[in-house]
Amino acid sequence: MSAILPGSSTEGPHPVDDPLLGKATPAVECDLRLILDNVPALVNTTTPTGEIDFANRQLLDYLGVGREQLQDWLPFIHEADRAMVIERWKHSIESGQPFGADYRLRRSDGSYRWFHGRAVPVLAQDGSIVRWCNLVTDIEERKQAEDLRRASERHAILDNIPGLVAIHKASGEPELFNRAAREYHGPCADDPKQWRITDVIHPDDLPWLLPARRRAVQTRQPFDTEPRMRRADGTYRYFLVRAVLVDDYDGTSRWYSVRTDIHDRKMAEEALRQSEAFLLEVQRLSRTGGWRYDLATDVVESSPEIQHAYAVLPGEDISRPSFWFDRIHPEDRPRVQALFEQCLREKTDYRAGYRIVLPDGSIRYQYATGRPISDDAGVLVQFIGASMDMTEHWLATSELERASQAVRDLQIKMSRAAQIATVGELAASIAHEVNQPLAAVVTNGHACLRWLAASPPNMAKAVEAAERVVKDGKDAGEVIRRVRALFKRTALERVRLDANEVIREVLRLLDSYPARKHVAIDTTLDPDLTPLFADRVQLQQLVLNLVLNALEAVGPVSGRPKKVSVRSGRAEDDAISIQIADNGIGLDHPEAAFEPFFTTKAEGMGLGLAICRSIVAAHDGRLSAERNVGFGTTFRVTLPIHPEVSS
Amino acid sequence: MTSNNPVVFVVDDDARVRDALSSLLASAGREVAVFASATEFLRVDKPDVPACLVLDLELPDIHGLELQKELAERDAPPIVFITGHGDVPSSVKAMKAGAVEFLSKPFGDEELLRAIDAAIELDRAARLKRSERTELARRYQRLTPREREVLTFVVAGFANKLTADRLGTSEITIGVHRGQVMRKMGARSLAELVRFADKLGITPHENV
Repeated sequence: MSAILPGSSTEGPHPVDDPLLGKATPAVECDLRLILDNVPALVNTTTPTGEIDFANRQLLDYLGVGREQLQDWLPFIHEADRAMVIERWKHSIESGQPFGADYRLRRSDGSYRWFHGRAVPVLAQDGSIVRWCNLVTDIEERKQAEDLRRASERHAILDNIPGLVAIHKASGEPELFNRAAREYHGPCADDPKQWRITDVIHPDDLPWLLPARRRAVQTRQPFDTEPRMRRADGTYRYFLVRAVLVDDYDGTSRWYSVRTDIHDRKMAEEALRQSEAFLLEVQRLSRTGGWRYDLATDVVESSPEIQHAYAVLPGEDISRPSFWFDRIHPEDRPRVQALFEQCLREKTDYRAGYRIVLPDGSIRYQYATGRPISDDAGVLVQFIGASMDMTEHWLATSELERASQAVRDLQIKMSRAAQIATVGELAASIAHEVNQPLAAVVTNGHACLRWLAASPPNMAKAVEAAERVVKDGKDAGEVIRRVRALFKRTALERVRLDANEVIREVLRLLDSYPARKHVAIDTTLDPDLTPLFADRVQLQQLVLNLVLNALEAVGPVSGRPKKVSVRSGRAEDDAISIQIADNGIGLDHPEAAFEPFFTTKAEGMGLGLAICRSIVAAHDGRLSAERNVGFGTTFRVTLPIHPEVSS
Repeated sequence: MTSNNPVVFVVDDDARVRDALSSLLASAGREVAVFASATEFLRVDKPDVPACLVLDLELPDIHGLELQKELAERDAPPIVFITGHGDVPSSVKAMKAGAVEFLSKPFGDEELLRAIDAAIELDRAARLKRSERTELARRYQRLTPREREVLTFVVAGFANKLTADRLGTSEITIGVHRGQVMRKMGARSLAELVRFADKLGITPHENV
């Protein structure tokens, strides 16, 4: 610039040969300068190479410099226009073409105004340029009017765009929203100065949007995001926001931002994503994978779940049907393959259950279904299908069968347990049965006495009470009669039975009995035991009570293993024996234990052994007890094989 | 059961025992209501009179001790247990949980009647206490917040002048409040008012 417009006129203008002014004289020059100084325009002249050799008063006044100081033009032209002015000057000086340009020139007060500069060359006789005459006209008002027009044109255009457009300053503050944007956002977009980003962007999007926006403003790089923006009705919709920084018509940089409503697309995408996730989850839950076989390309497509079920290894080519058939158990493969080929030939549905062998050698159960898909011409194009992993189901089924078997066993045990109520329970129940009417008898007796003692005596009430005494007393008698009947030998139901079997049943019943814990029961049963003719339930009661007694006897034992032994064997020629021994506390007078109401226990009626003896007696057998040499007691039951059948 | 006489509730699943007890208690001039199960007893509306519950320990639906636990949460009558088994642990449990007596069947008439009378007396006292407290609470509800404040000073033994200083008002005003408190609470003397306040659990103002 300095080469073109050096502005070095420190020595003042000097006369030159000038076609316009002729051979200038100082006087003429002085007049000329006077005239030029008073022309209501900014004027300067330069040398042919563009150095300023004269500037009129108006120009110097405008710039606020003295004639001597007008050396460097560069600072006076607006930075944004400088390059363009230099370019054109250069061109004019080189080509001799007139110069013309609009640019902003700085006034003495620092403000800029628009000017139109026009320079024409002054030619010598021989056509060479002797100087340039430059007229600089103030066009600020015209320019403003033009800007206004362009701005309003821009508004009109933007308003007609069927999309949201916003214009922001380079610093990010909004300047303008087009009609679509104003209508979308509502009142908060009416005045761009009042606009707050927090009013329009969804709060959840602000944390990432704000930094991105800041970064864009700093780097002046295009901005491309998908935030949710608030509509006038308060709902938020997804937008694709694209903004680029452009140099505008008036030389300032602005962000031009277009916002496209992508909400519906976004929602559809989200729904699709969710439905895919849902389908995947369902596949996972049901352990069902999907597959598709394209006949033309011989390619298999498979879902993640089926790949998981078949334990696909990295690097395996799962696009070939052979991969899937190779996984099938060798014993099942020919059958499944033949079936599939038949379905392809006949275009029929495919259903097959088979085992697959995974790379680690484990076996899984699969159930596959498929359906042929034909094109419009009826040609089979593909097979689609699903394959379900049935392994857990298969295992669960057998588990269930096992569990229900256990339940059945337990039920059998329970019913038997109910049948063989222990004697202790029986005794407690008898006591209660007798005690209830007894209590009623006593209370009624008291009541009767009170009714009689009243003055006057209430005979009717006393009689009622006395009648109740009689009735309740009979009730108590009835209970006793029933109990007695229970132990009478009248109700024996003799059947042929194996005493060993009875013993085993009783011991099984005691498997879960708490006192059975920590006690070693040693069982020695004679396998050749002759069958008995006896009452099964009574025999069970007998063995159960004797074993329970033994278990109770070893309960307090400490310092030695708790032991109970149960033996069966032939006693004499025509009898068998059952021995139940314990190493427990022992009895001082074993035979006394059979007396009714004899007991060593804090709870219990002492009826147990008495009942046992009555059962044995009913079967014409013997029950005896003796102290062991070491610890404890042995009870011995002897039962005849052929009892005297008596009613 | 229509009068204000005390009533004895009997719960026993054995009809013979129910009938006998019903007759015995009637012969001794007691009002009786019998129930065959705990459920039946719980379902029926009870008259608002002093009462006692004669309860069989072994009921088919709810065990006696369970019912006792359940009733403890309501204002239920005191319990006299009767049982055919009479085991020691149960009786200890029952007595600890507030039973009046634990009788083993069969029991004598005097034994039972003594226990029932003791239970009814207990209930009468408990009911009186409850109703007195209810009445006092009702009267207390009628006090204004300021009067309640003044009450805490009065029962702490503050003179009207001192109370007025503390509450930033005049002695005369406090005098008026005090009169209102006495009137609304129905207290004939300061000593009575202090007793009422104590029954209502009102903390006297800190005498500092």
